[in-house]
Amino acid sequence: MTAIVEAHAAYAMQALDLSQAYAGHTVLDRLKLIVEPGQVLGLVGRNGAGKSTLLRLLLGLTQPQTGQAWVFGDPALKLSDAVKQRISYVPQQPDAMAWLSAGQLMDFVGRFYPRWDAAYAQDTLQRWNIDTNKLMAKLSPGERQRVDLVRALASQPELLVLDEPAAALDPVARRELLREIALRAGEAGTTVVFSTHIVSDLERVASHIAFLHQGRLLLHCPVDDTKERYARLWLPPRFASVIGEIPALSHRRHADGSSSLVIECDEDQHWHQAVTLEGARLDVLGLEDLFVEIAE
Amino acid sequence: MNAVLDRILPLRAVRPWRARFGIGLWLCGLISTLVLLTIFHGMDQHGASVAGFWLALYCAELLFAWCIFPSATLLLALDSHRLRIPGAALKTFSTLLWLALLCIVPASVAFYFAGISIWTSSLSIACAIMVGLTALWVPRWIFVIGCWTPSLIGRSVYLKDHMSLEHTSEMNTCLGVLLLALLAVCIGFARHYFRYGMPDSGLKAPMILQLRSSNYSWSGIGSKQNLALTWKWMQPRTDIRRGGPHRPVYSLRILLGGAFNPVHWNYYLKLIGFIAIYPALFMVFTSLLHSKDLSELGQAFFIGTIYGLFGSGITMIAIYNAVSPGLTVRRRWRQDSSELALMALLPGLGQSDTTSLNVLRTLTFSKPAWVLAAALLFDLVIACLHPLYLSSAGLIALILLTGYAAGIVGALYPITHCAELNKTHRWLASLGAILVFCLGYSTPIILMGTTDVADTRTWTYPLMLVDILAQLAAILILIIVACRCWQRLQAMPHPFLAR
Repeated sequence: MTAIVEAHAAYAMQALDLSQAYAGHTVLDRLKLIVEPGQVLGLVGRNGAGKSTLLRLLLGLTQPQTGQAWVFGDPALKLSDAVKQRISYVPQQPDAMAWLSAGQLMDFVGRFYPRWDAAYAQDTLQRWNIDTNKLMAKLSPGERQRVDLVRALASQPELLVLDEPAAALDPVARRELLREIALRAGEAGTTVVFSTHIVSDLERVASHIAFLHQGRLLLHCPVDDTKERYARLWLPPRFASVIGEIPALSHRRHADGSSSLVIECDEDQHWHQAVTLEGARLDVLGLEDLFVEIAE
Repeated sequence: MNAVLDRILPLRAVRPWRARFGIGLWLCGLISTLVLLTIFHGMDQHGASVAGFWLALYCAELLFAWCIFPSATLLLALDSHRLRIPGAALKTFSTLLWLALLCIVPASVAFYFAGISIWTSSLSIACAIMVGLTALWVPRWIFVIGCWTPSLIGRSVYLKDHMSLEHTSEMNTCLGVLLLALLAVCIGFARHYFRYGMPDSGLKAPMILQLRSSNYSWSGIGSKQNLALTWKWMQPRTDIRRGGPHRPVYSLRILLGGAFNPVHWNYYLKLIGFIAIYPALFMVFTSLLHSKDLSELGQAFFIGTIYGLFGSGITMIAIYNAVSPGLTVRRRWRQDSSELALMALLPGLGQSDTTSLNVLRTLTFSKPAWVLAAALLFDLVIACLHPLYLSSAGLIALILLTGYAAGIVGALYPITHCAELNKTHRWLASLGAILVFCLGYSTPIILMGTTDVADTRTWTYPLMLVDILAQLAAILILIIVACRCWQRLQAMPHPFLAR
């Protein structure tokens, strides 16, 4: 038993066979995921792919239909106060506590965290020109998101979970947030899990990428590996019959009858033969191209 | 954005008040008609000698009606004007003008025959309409409370006629409190004005897309939209001084907000001051029109307020407290609620075994419960002072108990994810709730009104018995449901799971 607990505790987050469906529509299908301490994991996927649901299940905010999740060794649905003190979460629509002012929110939430950095909270709010006496209800969506980010960062978490953190931020604030994430991960070793569909953000800060598509993790690997590991194979229309024989993450048929496949270079070698076919071509994929190829 | 506006606006601009508030408008029309009928019946009985009083009553009722419905139309008209939407502003202003004429002309003609000059009645009604439109700048529910004024005044006149009140000391106290409350409002407003300039009300920016129907309903109280539309000066200031991990229940109240939010006492003072404006205006108005002594009116109003609160106010408090906790909790326990995530991940609200108990304690022994306890105390005081009203007081206490139980069940139900009722059960439950509500609201009023009328006992006593049985049955059902909810809550991994 102790060995099992220790095994879970070795990871910042762990999910085993998580499934969730809403109104008969499967959002997550027996999903497995491991986030190691110090990782900056970017969770990408199209709208409605289940990114937010996955984050919520990982933190025990929703009960999964099957499977289980652990955070620092604690079952996600029964987190102890000691673990809660080590994590921070910023939801997609941070409109919490509209009846408090930004200053009150910081003051109140700060009392619950032993490592709360009040000076950081105050300085950052001041730097971002947020009126601490204004009710949260009166702030713009972007300002509310900033306040919530400050709230999450000021607790000095070991695990930071951000659901579309840059959705309502202007480019300057977005860049500042990314810099902060990189700094926290680099200096304090904070584990960061964030969902996004802004691929350039991911390239800037993420150490790992997880691609969620149709309820499954299609790929989960270090960001630096993706360029070497995945490529796009173009096949002219006359080779449509061989597509089924090539193992691929996705394949796409274009209007002119040609096909493109995302292949994993270090696994099956079938694609080697395919590349030699007349008119076939192999492209190196950037993250954005990879996203588009898989998502479409 | 423009495409959305193009699609939405023409529909609302033609008849915005009808398109959005169909049922409310009819209800408003019904209330106004009933008030008019009562007024003319009263005038028929008492002649022109009290016409001024009836005019004041009509104005008060119009003020209420205009603050709820056409004020939103005015907002729409202003926005249309600002956004330069062709034709929309003109149509909306015309709608308002047409409504105003309908309210002014027929009533002025009627009051003319009752002995009041056309100019006096027209100007008075127009003033009431204008004041009603100022609801744009404050939360509308303050005006809703203001609608009590006519019934309180009516009751005060009844009591004055039947009790020959002569105590000037009570009147002085009443006017003193009223003046203090008004002073607090004026000082607060002036302070805000000199510090920040004009209040940052919703009128600063085009509001069409920001307005939601919840702004006008009870469920909208304390919501983000409502808070965003409220003056800074009138916004509730949450008292967070005692919040923290050492007081999880108090902290949960802060996190839940709405009906549970611990607010600074000066906010309530401001509200009382604002509400006090209505009777103050009403008394001055009636005094001027009717050449009545202001002190006499003040005294009558004071007594009327006390007994109005006893007769119908407490029941309203019970109903509000039965509904508001459930609405607050339902809003928080949604999947996209940020507060729910914060509550689930905030350390110090209790370990998994104690959190459920803390949640239950928050729902059962916090603000709504204290409000009901205060109402119960007031009920007992009246019962002790006037043994004549003992049976009414007992019934009101039972109603308060039902309201309390309903509040707890209404709050526990969404937390424990109990299955939604099917259509037939929902219909039956609604029917039962409406019956209990109607009986609970009307029986104390009827009992109060007929206490000194001997020949009504043959039907008031059975009515009271039916009401008692209905309330007891409701309490029993609510206790059973509450127990089931508590069992489910204990079985859950933690109480902050989204539906």
